[in-house]
Amino acid sequence: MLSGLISSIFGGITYGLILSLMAAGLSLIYGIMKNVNTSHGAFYLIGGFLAYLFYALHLPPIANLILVVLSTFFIGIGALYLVIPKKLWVTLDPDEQNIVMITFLALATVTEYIILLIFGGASVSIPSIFYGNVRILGNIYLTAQVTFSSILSLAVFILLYLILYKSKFGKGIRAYSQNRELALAAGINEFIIVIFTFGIGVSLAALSGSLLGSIFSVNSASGWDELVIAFVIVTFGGIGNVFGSLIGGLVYGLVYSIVLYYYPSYAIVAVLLIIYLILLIRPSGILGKVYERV
Amino acid sequence: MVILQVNGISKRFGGVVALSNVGTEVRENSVFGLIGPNGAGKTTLLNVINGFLKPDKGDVIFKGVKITSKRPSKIAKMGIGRSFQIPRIFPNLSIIENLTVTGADENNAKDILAFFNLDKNVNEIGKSLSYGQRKSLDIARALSLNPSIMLLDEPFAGLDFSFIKKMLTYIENLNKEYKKTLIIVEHHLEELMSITDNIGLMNFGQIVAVGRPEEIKKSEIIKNVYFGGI
Amino acid sequence: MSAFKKLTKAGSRLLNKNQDQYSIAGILAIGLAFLVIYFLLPGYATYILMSMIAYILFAVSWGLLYNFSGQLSLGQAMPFGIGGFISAIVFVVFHLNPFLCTFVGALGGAGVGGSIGASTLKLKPAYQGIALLVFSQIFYWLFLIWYGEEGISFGIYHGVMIASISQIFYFGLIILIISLLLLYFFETSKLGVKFKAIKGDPVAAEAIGIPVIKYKIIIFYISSFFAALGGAFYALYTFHVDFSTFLVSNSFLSIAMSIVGGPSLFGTLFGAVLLDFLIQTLPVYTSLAITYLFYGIITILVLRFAPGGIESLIKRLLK
Repeated sequence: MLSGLISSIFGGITYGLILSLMAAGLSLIYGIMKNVNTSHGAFYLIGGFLAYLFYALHLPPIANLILVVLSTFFIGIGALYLVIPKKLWVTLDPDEQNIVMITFLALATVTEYIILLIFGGASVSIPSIFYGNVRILGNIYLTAQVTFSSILSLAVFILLYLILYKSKFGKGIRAYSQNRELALAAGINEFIIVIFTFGIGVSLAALSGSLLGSIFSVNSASGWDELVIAFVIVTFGGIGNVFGSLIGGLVYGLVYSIVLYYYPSYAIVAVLLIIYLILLIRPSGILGKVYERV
Repeated sequence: MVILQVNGISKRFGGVVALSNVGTEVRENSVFGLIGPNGAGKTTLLNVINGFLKPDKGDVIFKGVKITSKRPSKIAKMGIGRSFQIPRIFPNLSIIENLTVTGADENNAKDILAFFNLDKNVNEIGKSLSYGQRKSLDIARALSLNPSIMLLDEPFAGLDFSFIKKMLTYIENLNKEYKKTLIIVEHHLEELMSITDNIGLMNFGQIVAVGRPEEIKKSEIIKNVYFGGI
Repeated sequence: MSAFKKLTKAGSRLLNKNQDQYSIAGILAIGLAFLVIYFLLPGYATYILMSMIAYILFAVSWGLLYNFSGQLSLGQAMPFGIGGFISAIVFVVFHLNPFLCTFVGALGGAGVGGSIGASTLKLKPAYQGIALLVFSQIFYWLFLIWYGEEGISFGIYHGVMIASISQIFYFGLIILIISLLLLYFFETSKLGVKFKAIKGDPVAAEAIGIPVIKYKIIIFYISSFFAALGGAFYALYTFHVDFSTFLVSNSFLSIAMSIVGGPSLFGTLFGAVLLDFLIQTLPVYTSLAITYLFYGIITILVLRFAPGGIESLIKRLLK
């Protein structure tokens, strides 16, 4: 019985780990745009369905993942460029921020219905890259796909670390997030920073979508719960703090798996309620700065 | 007769002490000036009096009633009006609506607007006013509440020279004609000293001296506060 | 002076200077138009009209929150759906008069929506919007678990339909016109100006004696009431309610209608009529998915090129 709980927890931690990728993306975008990407769930959705599409086109699995990330990167950039006027990309004015959030919401709705039109309303599951089970401890097993996804997620976090802290571009992102005026004065190209960060952010969401789409499934209504979960992970871990998202995701996974073990049918409701309470009580996060809106 | 009293007001923000054991009293119908370098706590003190900030310690007593824990809207209705350093007008309402929204009746409002030379085009929308006009409207609106005390936060800030002279007359008349008690935070010391009965000098969150303008002007303390540490 | 002129003159003296008889006439004219269409095109047109009634109430409730008091809700489907479910449950359990159930649903939705909304007041707009979205998702899953995909269907009681379509239509029309009039008088009243002040500068509003937090709470309850009324009426004329009423795309409808039409009461009303008309008629030629797709694209275009909505375009044309 205990091993059942522990099994659940391992599964949950993986789930949280993969979601923290999406949360890291949301966090990066918030750090740059000072605004919530309410279409982030739509990119999760895109990731899941692109992976399915490329599978149906018989692409080899690893190439599939890479192509999903790259495609979403460009789709994201294109969407941002087309849909939001440049002067609203980064703004602290609450009315303008609301307009951006609503526009992203509209974009998410458009995406949801395009997917519905192309793929129908049924859930699809992307076949795994790896089959079989991996033994963790005792008689606790994880599927190979889950194990692979976790390792991949950690690898991506390491990659993110290298980009953010060891590359010039990453320094630019961090500088811009912390002090826009100073960063601009130092000669940072605002357009590149915003657009690339947005692309990277939504690609992370798409990666989450394709990985979780292979472990579970996706359908055209997916993405909203994931958006909300990513949002609370970002809140918990601190906005702009990518590694806070990692920790937040792990905590989320842990909490979710415990709740799921004891209340299987109501798990999502219970977790959403907890998220709601967290949003109410601690909008400032444990780590990382909060960008104050006037 | 004392209309407002603050006793032992202390307030910190995290590690920063904004106000430390601040106490003073203001007599009815007087003009009390609050001066001091930036960061001394002047606006913070106004915010505490007004109810926008709750002090960690101490009380604000208005007409004998403790108002320390009351909401700003309640305090406003009790008779304390407030104008802001950067004027906060309602940009989406017309000039006259900016006043009538406080509950003032239209004729009263028109008189007040005339007093501030804002009665040329009362239906013009707030958004279109110049900076000086906004500052006047900000104060006019506070006046339309018919308060007993008006807290004016840097009424001269950002105004050009001719407007400062106008504003000086407005403020003087607030006290002389409208019989309002005024507490004015300012940096324009010459202008302030010409209209105040008493000056409080603040530094590092404390009131370090209180007295008549001539006394404060001549004192060593004011030199130290503005040019050195105390 | 003719009697009619005397009457309108006397009536217009009752109006304050923000109000005008043309707006009131406009609202009554809409009611008249609905009646005329009802009589001229019986049958399916009645369903379109009833859908419009529900969605006008829904869109106007969101507009009240956003345009009038500056609060963003990304989960307006929550009070809408609660209104529907409460009215359906009350009917199924207590078999009260279905019109009474609609009001109970509206009040229940107002209570739930208002309370949840009030709890989000202290949050910054992004957090507030998402927190309300979270709650609409909570109810989405809850009602799916409790009532399944079939939801609640009601409408036959002891072998007889609980109300005739024409009765429901008249009921809906009456509540629509009364609601629109109430909202018009509210927005243009002295109280309404105070809300505009809060939207203009909440700190200054507080400084002149307007209890901002109390007022924001009030507007949440009012907004939730009208959303729930719309939802309850929707359940009534379709004799059905299920978890899909809480979908985010449903919340989005209220937003799209208000944005596309324009921020004023009439703008939102127009947006609701237009978009609802499209959603009722286009799927016959294309599909529901394409219609929603169309909504999303139109909203994006409007926000990008004409943020004041169609209302602003019309105003520009008239100049």
